[in-house]
Order: sequence, then C-alpha cells, then structure tokens
Amino acid sequence: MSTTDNGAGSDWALVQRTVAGDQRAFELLVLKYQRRIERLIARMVRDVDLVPDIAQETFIRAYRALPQFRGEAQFYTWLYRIAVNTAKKFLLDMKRNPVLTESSLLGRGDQEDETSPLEREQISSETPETLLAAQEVAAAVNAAMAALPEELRQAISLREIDGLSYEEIATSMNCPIGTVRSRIFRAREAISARVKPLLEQRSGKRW
Amino acid sequence: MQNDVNKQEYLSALVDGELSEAELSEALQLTSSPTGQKTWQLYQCIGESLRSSAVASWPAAATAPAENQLLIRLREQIAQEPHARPQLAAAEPVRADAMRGKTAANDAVFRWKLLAGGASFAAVLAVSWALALSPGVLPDAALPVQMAAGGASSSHTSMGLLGQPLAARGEQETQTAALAPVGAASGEAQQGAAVMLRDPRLDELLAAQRQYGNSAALQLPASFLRNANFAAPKR
Repeated sequence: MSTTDNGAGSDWALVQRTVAGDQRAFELLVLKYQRRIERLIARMVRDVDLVPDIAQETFIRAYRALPQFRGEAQFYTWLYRIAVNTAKKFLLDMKRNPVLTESSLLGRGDQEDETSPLEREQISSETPETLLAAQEVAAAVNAAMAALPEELRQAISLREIDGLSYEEIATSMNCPIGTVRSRIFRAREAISARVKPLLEQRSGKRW
Repeated sequence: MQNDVNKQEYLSALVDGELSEAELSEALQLTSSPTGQKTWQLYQCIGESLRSSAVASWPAAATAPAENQLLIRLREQIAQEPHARPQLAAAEPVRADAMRGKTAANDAVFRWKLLAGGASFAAVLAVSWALALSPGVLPDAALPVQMAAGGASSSHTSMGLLGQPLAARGEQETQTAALAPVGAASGEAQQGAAVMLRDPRLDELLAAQRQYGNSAALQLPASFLRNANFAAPKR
C-alpha cells in the first residue's frame, strides 16, 4: 500500500464486498463519503433543497455502476465524477422544466438584492452553529491527541496524517504489525471517548 | 467482552484497509448494528479532522446513522433495485445430483479428439513403415542446390558432395580436404578444408567486367577479416 493511500484499500475491499452482494459494505461507503458529496453538490446547484435528492441519485447511480468500477482510480474520484454528472443533469432538467423550489424563492424577495445574506445561507448547509460545533469537536480531537501516550500518538499520526501503511509504521516504530494495529485502535478509542459527549450534546442522542 | 474489543479493532483496521478477507466479514457483521456504524463514522471523522484543518464536515457526521435520511432512503431504493443481489444468486452452488443422468457438455468434443488422435497415430505408423522399407534414400530435391564452387576442382568437389547420400559425406569431406590446395602456412591448410560458396553467374559477370572485379574479388577474404569474430577480448 502506498504512503498516499488514506483508506483506498478499505474502499476497494468494500466495493468488492458490495459487488458480491453485501449491502452493509455499500452503507459504509455512503457514510464515509456522504458529507463530501453533499458539499460538492451544494457548491454546484446552489440550492440546499436539491442536495439530498441529487446525493441520493448519485449514490444509487454509483451502486448500479459499481460492477464496472475496476479500482484503477480512487473510489472517491470515481464517485466525484458521478456526482458532478448527476448534478449537471439535474440542472439541465431544471432548465427544461423550471419549477422553482421553496428555498430558491426565499432569496428572491423584492427587497433583496443578489448579495442578500439569506440567499448565501440557503446555498450552504454550514451554519454558524454547525461551524462552532465543528470547532469544538476539532479542539476535543486535538486535546485527546495531546493526552495520548507517545506510542499511540505516533502510531495514529503516522497512519492518519502521513498515510503510512501498517507495515511501514511497524518498520518505523520497530514493532510487530499487530502492535501497530492495536495502538491505532486504542488511540482512536481514546479520541472517540472525548468526542462522543460533544456529539451527544449536539444531537441529544446517545452515541 | 474481549471478543467485542477485537471486533472493534477490526473496524479500526477496516478504516485503514488493513483487513484480511475473514476479518472483513467479522467487521461487516459489526457494522450492521447502529453502534458499529456510529463507530465507523467516528473513526472517519477523527481521520478527517487529523488530516485536514477544515473541520466543517463534523456536524454532518454527527448525525446518528439511525437518523440519516439519505441512508434510510438509499436502503429502501436499493431494496427495490432489480439487480440488488445478482452476484449472490449467481454464486449459489449447483447440487451434484441435479446433474446426474445428463451428458457432459464437452462429450462430443472428447469423441472427436479421440478420433483425431487415432488418425494421427495411423499416419505416423504409415510414414515410419515407408521409411523403414527404403533406408538411406532421400530425395535430392530436398537438399540445397544453390552452392557452387569457384574453381574447377572445388566445383566438382562441391557438386559431388551434394550429390551423395548423407551417409557418404564424412568420407567425401576428407577427400575434399585432400584435394584442396595446400598453403605454405599451416593456417592456410585449414582454409582449404572449408567449402567456399560461389555463384557461377556472378563469377561470369566479374570475369567479363574485369575493370570492376580484379582477382582479389574472386579470392578468399583477407586474413584479418577471416579472423574477425564476435568474442570480446580477454583481459
């Protein structure tokens, strides 16, 4: 596995599983890339109400075309193309059949010009609250990283930041691959323990 | 308890794409539960946060999988897909007793192969028998006839050599060596044994056009050229 591989091996394994008929594997891919795809679509269509439909269509198209995915490109690159094409098709259909959505109407009041903050708010799902929450969570991750024992911090940094494979980490840390796997898992669990309360606080549900 | 921890470790390794096939099945079993999916999302978010300074993706990931509308709608839609589980259906094994009594698909091919094998064997036998009945006879036409010697004696020698059966060649070669002109140097004696390939028409042409072809052109190559070879010099 290359040093630039951040989960590409995992994606390929999940794709193969999905093609073999295991839908749980596809759900993991959806969970992994959902947000990135939604952000991409939101930037293209500039209408937050359309984003869920286009995202759903994107993933369904990807699911149907998955047997043709050969793993020559990264899965996200392939999915990105599908999302772009799906969004373009939606926009084209909108031109042919220009039914205005509720949110696109919101920004077109007589009193508002094109710099209206309301319109800008509607084209992105990122609100000040969500940005604040994101900053809190990022701070929690950083604090958790700082509190980790040295060997755990080094292992997870080499994996997540430098993108090294387990074998390469084992060589650089001079320990067996099993130990690397265990250290990365323990590091993730420690960070999760710090982040979970924040997520529960936000969603009001237990994580 | 320890088993659950091990499975969660599989999930962590799945995030990194470092699982074996058997472990992958275990990890996927775990992700069929909401807890497993939450853990998967958390691990993805941690990685994203560590890799990037852009933290805006966190709130979306904070949506619990059970409330993830996209995932719920996708599940429903995939369930309605006509080719939702094509590979699993195709992979179902066929029972051996279901095939009992049916002829194999390649039966006819096998019969033809047997017939062709028998015919080939008979042909080989026939040719061998014909050769055994007439030993030492080889058609002259099978031998190359483009060779001709430049000089009268060597020309006779070459033609005689080519006209003889293969069994008599060794003897003829000895005679050829004896007939060849013997040089003063011992190296030239070896050259005499060599048969020179000449084209009689070229010789005639060169004889007619003496201004272009002097006597040197009809002779053997110079000694330095004869000694040229491809072997690298030893140091």
